[in-house]
Amino acid sequence: MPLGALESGCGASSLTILPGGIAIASPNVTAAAGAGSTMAMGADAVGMNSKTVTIVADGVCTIKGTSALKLQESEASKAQEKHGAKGDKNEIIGFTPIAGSSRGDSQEAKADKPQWCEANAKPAPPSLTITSETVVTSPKDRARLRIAVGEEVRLTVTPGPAAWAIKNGEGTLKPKSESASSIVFVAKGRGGPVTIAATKDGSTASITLTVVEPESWSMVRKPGSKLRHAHGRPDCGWLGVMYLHPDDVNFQSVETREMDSHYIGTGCYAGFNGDYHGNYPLPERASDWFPMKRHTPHGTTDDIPDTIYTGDPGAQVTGAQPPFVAGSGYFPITIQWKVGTSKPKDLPIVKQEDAVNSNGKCESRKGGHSESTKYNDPTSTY
Amino acid sequence: MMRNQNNLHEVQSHLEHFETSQDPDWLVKAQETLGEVLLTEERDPKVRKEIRLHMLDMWLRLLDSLDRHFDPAFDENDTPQKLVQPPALPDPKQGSLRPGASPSLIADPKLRAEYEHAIAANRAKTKRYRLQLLLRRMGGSLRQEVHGFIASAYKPTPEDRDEVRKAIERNIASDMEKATLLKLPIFGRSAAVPQ
Repeated sequence: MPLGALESGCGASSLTILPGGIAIASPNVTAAAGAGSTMAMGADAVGMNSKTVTIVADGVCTIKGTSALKLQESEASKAQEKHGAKGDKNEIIGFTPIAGSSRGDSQEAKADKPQWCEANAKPAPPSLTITSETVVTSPKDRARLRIAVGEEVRLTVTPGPAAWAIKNGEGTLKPKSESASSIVFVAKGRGGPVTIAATKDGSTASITLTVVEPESWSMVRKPGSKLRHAHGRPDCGWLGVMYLHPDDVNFQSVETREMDSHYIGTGCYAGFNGDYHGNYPLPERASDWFPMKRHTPHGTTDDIPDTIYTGDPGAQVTGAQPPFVAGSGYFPITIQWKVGTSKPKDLPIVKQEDAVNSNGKCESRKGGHSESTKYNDPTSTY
Repeated sequence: MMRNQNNLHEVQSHLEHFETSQDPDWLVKAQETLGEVLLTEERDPKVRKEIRLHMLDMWLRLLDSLDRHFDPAFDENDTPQKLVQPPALPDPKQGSLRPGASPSLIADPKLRAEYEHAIAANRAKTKRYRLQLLLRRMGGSLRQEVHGFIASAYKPTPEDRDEVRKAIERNIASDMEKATLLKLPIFGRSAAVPQ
């Protein structure tokens, strides 16, 4: 029900105030502000007249002429041309091309400021969208933007094809053709952000990936394997499998190796002091490289069993029965990693530790995993 | 461009290093370096044609190296050991050595020799394991690059087809690989001949 209504004497014009708005119906509507600004709507024309007219759209701004879109030269341009000066016609101020973005904040060209409308007869630049999918199927989230060093990600632009380029950071794009709808980005062997852009018809969209390096490693006992132990002796061994972390990316392109280290021991293990862990060959004193094989929810593993054993200094050192001569010791293990031919990089040192106490309990620890035996446990092997 | 020529010579050198060492890092280096050769930057049509053929030869040689060292019988579950377990010492009172212990700690020459042999065998197995695993990983992307290069650098004209066919004959030993390459779109009947 109208809250208020005014009707003109002839009955052809009306002003109605409704709860949801104000309705004006008239053959001609004119609004005037100040001395020189008017806005008028007639049956065949709409006009705005002022010193400055601004059209701003928070979203898409469209100006369309079904048969033609006319631009009138500015007086300044006319004057410049008249005097032989080179002048741009209908100068457009503050134009920002509208670019597509597929993943919110990580994209460039976010519309965080008003998009000024261009009064131009050219078609609007296409709105581009980039989607990403990791080539490996584990972890399950293949649209993730955190990827491992050496990981491959398929990038697709819609509408395609577009010209691809790495704008920031390192990596390789395959194929290297000038224009493609879909390409594969291969991360290099160093971490950090990488921004890849796709450009088509003056529009650019980009995507930023975060390349992650291995940060740490841990060991778990190989499922189904037994402990190594000799009945009557304070010794302990187990089969471990290494996992690289963090776990939310796939380090399948990474290889690791161990740098040799010297034993540091006391008590019954003092005789092992200075022994090399692997006796790896010179000049690097490093093991061979072992490629990572698969990703699991607990990290990426090479699936190669590592025989972790305390050693037994012998009854002549520990004694043949309790109380045994206690002791402890460790190898400070440095694992290096690389991708392809990248320069090897160290992971933080992890100790491989051994301990025997006088009552014959023997413990072996490595990479956060620990196993133990009692001297009188039955003999067993991995 | 001199840089293209240098890169192509480097690729050849990497391939030779791979043949002598069988270290897959050399194949990776060859693939990376070949990816840096930019045919589009060659302005002189004659030089461009020469570089294109040299690139084709190198891509095909790289593929051939991979094929020749690929072992179809490789079982990736037959893994090497990280460290070899030394033999039990003759006198139990001497205790037990750790995996990876120095052979010099074994007094018995026969046991020491067996242990040294086991270490050498494990090292060879580790190298083979790594080579075969990495060849499998490289294969897919390398073939894509070779096929992509032929598709982008050559046109289905009689002259280009002849050049590619002769290069395949010259560089590829595997019949299966040859057959795959000769089925590429450039050799297809439906391939459109450009104007």
